[in-house]
Amino acid sequence: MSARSWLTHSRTAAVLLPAVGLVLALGLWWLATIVFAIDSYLLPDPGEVLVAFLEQPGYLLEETGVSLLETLEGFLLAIIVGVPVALLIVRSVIVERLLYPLLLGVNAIPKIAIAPLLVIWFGFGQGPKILMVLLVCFFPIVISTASGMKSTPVELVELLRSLNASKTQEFFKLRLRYAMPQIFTGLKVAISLAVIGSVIAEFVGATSGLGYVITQSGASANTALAFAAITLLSIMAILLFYGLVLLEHLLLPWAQESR
Amino acid sequence: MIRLDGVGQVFHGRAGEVRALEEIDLHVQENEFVTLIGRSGCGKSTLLRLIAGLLPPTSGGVEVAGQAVSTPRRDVSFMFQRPALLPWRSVVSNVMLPVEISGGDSEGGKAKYRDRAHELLELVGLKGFERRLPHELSGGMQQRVSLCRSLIRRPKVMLMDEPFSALDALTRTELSAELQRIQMELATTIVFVTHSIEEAVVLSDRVVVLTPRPGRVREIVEIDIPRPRTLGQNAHLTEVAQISGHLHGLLSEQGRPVDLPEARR
Repeated sequence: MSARSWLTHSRTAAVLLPAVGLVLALGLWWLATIVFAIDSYLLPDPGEVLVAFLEQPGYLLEETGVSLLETLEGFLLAIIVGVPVALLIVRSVIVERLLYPLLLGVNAIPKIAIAPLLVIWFGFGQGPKILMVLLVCFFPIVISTASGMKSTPVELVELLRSLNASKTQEFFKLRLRYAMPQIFTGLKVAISLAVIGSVIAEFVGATSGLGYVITQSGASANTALAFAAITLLSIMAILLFYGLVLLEHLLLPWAQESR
Repeated sequence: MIRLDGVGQVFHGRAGEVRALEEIDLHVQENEFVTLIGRSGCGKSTLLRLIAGLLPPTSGGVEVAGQAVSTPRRDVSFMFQRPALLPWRSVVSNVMLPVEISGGDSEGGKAKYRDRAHELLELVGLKGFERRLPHELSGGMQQRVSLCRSLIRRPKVMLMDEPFSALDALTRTELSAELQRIQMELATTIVFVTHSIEEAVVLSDRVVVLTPRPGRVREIVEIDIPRPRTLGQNAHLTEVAQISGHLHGLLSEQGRPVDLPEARR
């Protein structure tokens, strides 16, 4: 095996290469702070970020938990509301014409513009954060579910008709199952947005969460702490995303090959 | 078994009315193998869907087993051009789909059908593939699964819409030989749609030639060649060629039957 084909095909390389990339980036970052003698309140080096985390790991993990909970609750709520709305849209042209422009309009609003309003309406608690996550997740979930439900191949619909299947059977045994891979695509988009949503909401008015940690540390010029919080946020987003990927592999083993 | 009396079908498209079928009279006997053949757009598939109860006829009447057809019947199965397998179901549970959909079977009844599913899969050479997913099979194997699925409920009538046309030539001949064998064994009435004259001649008792737009019955050709018929090492090549030539003539643009030259014999 040549070195090149080892790098592109082996499993070890598949894990090793991203790690090498990460180490390289960290090294460059570290080097830059030394070579250009950057003040640590402007750009802390990776070591300082690690120290900032190790100084109060319990506190930071707790705040991570707060943000994680908001993200997950909003995300689940978006599924609970979004999927039925998508089904209604697919089911009835009237509902589609009624709701679709509205959905597009709401989606076009930059969500950060609503954040202060949510604080005015719902205060500083978890509610407005969950609502913000719901707002950002809603659209991709509705769109992907609706288009998935419309993608059922004609011959499969005809097959179920020829078997005299009821509408309910057609829905559960065929259309919904067939839409699952596309729904998952929407969920993967939504979960990344969900993390952004919860942080935005925390920026505007919160007393806890990683977004709150970042604004607070910014105010006190504790840049290293902000970096630690940002790192935790991105780890959280990555884990959530890959959690969904894993779930998809477990639930839809057929979808990887046949589409 | 199947009676079509003065059946006509009109579609209302954007470009106006399309007369797909007109004045079709056809009686198919029990255990008969009838093939519908014709150029593209002659309404063969439409006719099959009318018999299946997937489509109500604009005019005329369709009867299966003495009853007017209004919805798809349990004892009639439909096989499509594409395998139409549910990609998340294993081979055996795809075969079981019709049983599951119609429901109402006791556990014991279900178990019997499950045994039958395994028998059918063995019959078409898919033993050992029961737990596989459709995407792991070749096109020919998928269509065999589809054949098993249409046989699971012991249908009295099988409607087959160009079931082998998406397959390569070799698989196609193989499957049509298998279908012949299965029909002789299981005694079902089959209405088959194809583009292939050869397939029609090898498989059918009678071939119904349809004219295009609107589809009418041009001629019904009886095929008196003893079974089982094969193409390779068979003694009836002359007859097959003769009838094929005749059908080819019927289907050709002018529509004039062409007599086979003596020299070909």
